[in-house]
Amino acid sequence: MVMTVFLNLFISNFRNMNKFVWRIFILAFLLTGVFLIAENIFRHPTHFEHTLKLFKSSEQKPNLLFVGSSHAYCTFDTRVFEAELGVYAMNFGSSSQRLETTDVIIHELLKEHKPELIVIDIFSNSLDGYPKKEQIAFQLNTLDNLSLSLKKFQMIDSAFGRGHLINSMSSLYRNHNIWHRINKDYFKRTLFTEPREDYHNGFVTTLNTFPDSIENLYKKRFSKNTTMPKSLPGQWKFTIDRVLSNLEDAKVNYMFINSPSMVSSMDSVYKGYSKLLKEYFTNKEVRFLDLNLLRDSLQITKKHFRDPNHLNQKGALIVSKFLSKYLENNYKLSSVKTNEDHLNRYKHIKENFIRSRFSKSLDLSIEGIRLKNVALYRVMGQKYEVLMEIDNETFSDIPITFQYNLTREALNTFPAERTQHLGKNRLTRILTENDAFEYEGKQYIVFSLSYPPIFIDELVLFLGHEDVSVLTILNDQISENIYDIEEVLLDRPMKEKMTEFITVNSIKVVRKKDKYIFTTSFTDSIRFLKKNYNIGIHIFPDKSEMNLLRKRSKERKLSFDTEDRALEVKNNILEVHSTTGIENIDRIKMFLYDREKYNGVIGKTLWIEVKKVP
Amino acid sequence: MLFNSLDFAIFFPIFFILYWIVAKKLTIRNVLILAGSYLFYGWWDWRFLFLIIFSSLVDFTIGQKIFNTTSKKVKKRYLLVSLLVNLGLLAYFKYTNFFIDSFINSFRLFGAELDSFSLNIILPVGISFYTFQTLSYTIDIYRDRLKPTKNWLAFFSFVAFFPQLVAGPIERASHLLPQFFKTYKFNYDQVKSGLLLMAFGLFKKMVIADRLAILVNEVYNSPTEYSGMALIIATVFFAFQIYCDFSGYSDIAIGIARTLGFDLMKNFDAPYFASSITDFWRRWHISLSTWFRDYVYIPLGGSRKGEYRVYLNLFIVFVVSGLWHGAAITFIIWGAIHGIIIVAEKAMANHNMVIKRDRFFPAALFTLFTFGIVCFAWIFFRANSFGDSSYIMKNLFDFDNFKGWYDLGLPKHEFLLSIIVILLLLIFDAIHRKYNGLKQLNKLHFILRQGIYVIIVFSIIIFGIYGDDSVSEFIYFQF
Repeated sequence: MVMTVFLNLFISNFRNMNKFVWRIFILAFLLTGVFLIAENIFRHPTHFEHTLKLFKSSEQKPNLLFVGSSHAYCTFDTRVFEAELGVYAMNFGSSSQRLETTDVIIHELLKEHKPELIVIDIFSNSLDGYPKKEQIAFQLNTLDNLSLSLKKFQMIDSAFGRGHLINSMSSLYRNHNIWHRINKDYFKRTLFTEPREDYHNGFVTTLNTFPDSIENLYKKRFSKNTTMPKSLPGQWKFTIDRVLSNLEDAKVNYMFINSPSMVSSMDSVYKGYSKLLKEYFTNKEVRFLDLNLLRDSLQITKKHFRDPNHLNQKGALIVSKFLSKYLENNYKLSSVKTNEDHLNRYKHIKENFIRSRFSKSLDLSIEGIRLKNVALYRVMGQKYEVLMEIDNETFSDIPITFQYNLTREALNTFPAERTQHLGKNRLTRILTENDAFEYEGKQYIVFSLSYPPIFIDELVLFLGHEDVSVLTILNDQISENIYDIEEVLLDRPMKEKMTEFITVNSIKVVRKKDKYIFTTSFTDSIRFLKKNYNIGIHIFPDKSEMNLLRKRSKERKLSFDTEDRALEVKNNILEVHSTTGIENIDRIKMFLYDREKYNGVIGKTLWIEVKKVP
Repeated sequence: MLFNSLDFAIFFPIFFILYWIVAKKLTIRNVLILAGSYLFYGWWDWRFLFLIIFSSLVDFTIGQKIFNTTSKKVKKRYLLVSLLVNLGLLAYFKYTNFFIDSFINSFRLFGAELDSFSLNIILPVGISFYTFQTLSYTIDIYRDRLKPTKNWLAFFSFVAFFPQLVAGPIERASHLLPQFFKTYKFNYDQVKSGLLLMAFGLFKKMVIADRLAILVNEVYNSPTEYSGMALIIATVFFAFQIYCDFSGYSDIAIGIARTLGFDLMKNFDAPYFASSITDFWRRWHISLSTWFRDYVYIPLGGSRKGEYRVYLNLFIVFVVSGLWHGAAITFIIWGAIHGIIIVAEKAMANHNMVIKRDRFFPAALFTLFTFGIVCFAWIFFRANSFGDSSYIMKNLFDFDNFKGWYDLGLPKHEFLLSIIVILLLLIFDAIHRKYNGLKQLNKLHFILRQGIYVIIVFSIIIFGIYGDDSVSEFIYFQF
């Protein structure tokens, strides 16, 4: 009865509200659209986000996963596991990750793919409460990248309290006060790492060590904790049991590890809980490896830590090598098909650089450092490294400088902050003994390049205080991607007149893995190009990639100015190399133009349909 | 419940929908308004509800009694009861500790030291506002300007009407009460303008006032660490903070009422464009200044008892107004400053000493001068103690130790944004006064309008100060 009256009232009023309801609906639709865009923009950039994207987008899924807090992403060097075991490893460690969050992350990962083994880093803080807002913020930044699920909200509710539900639901709500940091690079969501940090499949590392003053500070702080805990809190056990039960349900192999930490030797609470955790897991017949107990036998000292809580690259190398052996002995992990994406410095060393882009033996000795071999190789995506083998590590404070010229194309492809020094780019670093690491009994130094070699015309390596030029690598000395299959997209004889003095005789477009090579022949001499005239090339991708391009450069096409790119202009053959990032070309537009004039196209514009040409 | 809280963001849409479903059924609608208002008010502390119910009950009953009595003497007695109950409650909750402190301090002046003590009294939110509103009801009945209502539901809803319950505008029964006896048809344009007004109000509060408050609190909470320029910046920022905070609240209140079909009186009218203090009080907290005019100034004799009595009456009104704002000597000084200037302006006008606006004294100069005086008075209003205000006065023009623009609690980007939003506010006020911004907005193309709505909403979401305990109360709640 009441409902009927209510309904009648509603219907009679709704007639009046008709316009309002529709307008509100339209506004709500618009607001939702803008909100979703803003949500993405205000998501705090993390390397976790990058790793998750990599995981979801890669066809080849990893078979070895690491999860846990910053201990995990600083300890488990995915490169080592890939080199030692032939696996494909990814590290999903994230700052302050608690076991509840780990549970949700595993849940999300398992929806996509079931790996052969999940290694979960755990220690007392992984189960402790959330005393600091900052730690909750770290968790929420990680959770932003996971899809909406009941499990996620249940976890947030139980771990952070209902008050944080709204915080967890919207990164815009939570991070709106960082509006001043939003810039175009934020939109591009490039990989987030701190300066001098190195990243590989979720593993984040640095060669830094820390000063004694910090150690003393930690000692002071932790030596006060003298009480040894007698049992694990009930809530901890509950969380562990829930994670174990979920892992069992998913029928996935897993093990728990406590990564080495210097704090473990200072804090009795840490030590006590590690012991209790070991006992608890042993009782449950779950594999648990406390690497703190092996610290002496692994010869991990202070120089292997970036701070008292986290290993540096050298420490991570030792632990990862040890763990690789451990996993080899205890689990059957399959090898993944190796392509260039799965190559890394350790694999290259193991293979003696046979698959590197450039390698050369040297025998140079400068200021106590002896260079033996130099190699340049691609790690993953657009990242390259120059690795130098040295014969000792007795040197100290030697300047090493890489100087290279960038092409204009680098400007369009990379974030502004990385191309500020367009032209002659000179990066100098002071090498210390800390920079050298040992692998397979040899000493190495690595230098990361910010740009793929295609964007570098000439790379010169200087060493020592007197800036001695020890090596020059020219662009054409860098071998092409040996795993790319050259695909001829277009090979067409033609007789198309562009102007009175230039006729195009043929055009050939070859796609290599990450670039296109345009080869065009002309009837007439193209010496004009050296004066005011250029051949302009516009590449139009097909529809599927158009949006991607527009997002990146707000353009419907990629424009090339042959002036800067013509690698070969002889015998009336023009060869242009360009890295476009476009997979499928729809059309190519070619035209001759006077570069001193605005809109100075001369003669006919040629449109070449790529797909229609046999 | 705060207008700028998540609780209200959930409460209001539900209330709005229910309201328009039952809008045609007067009794059900008023029940809904009363229940919603009590829920809104009780959200702070459910115990406050007893106070507002008691106050409503007293004035509802006394209103009837005054009207039904023919004897002037008895009428007066009933009015006295109403005044005693209402002002008694206000005095107890708001001024007890102030009077105790003043009592102890006055003994100290004569060398006697009494043990200091204070009572643990919580000031019920909005008591100053609804007390004045209910008082106007009984006083108007006493003056035969209003007939009492026999409908308790309408009266209780009038007293507790949630949009303006805690910080005004202080409505007169003759204007608001009859609206509780009318049913309203859903009017698209009215609802739209109400929602827009709410959005502007939220922008003023969350983007401007709460941002400026960071700097103001930093400086005014430890003024001795600052001098000269820092104190001036903080004072000017406070002038805009309190304006945006209070007018923002009024905008939201008027907006909410408008979405429900109700009309509340205008409370602000671009006050910082005033060309004199007299003009300022015609534009600032209009509902309070007219209340004081009608229920304090006129009963004191107004302008009927000679020139000097007018000056005295004006001065008394402003001192009382200062006391209404807060139980502290600084508020009384603030009121007195305004009182003195108003008296001076009145005297100058009476003796034809008014400086005329011409090309040597353009209107902008008057406006700037008035703004300067208003800011000067705000020092006393905002200072945490008389000692602080004295320090600020002494060091206001000491420009030697200026730490820098961005060392006053707001980082560079926030400071610059603060300046931008203040300028935007002034431009908007100037345009709105002349052309009525909402009407101009309605003339725009539908798509452009939608775009502007989206920009307003996201300006609040992105630039608003909120989240993680930073939701702040409106300044006028404390009064």
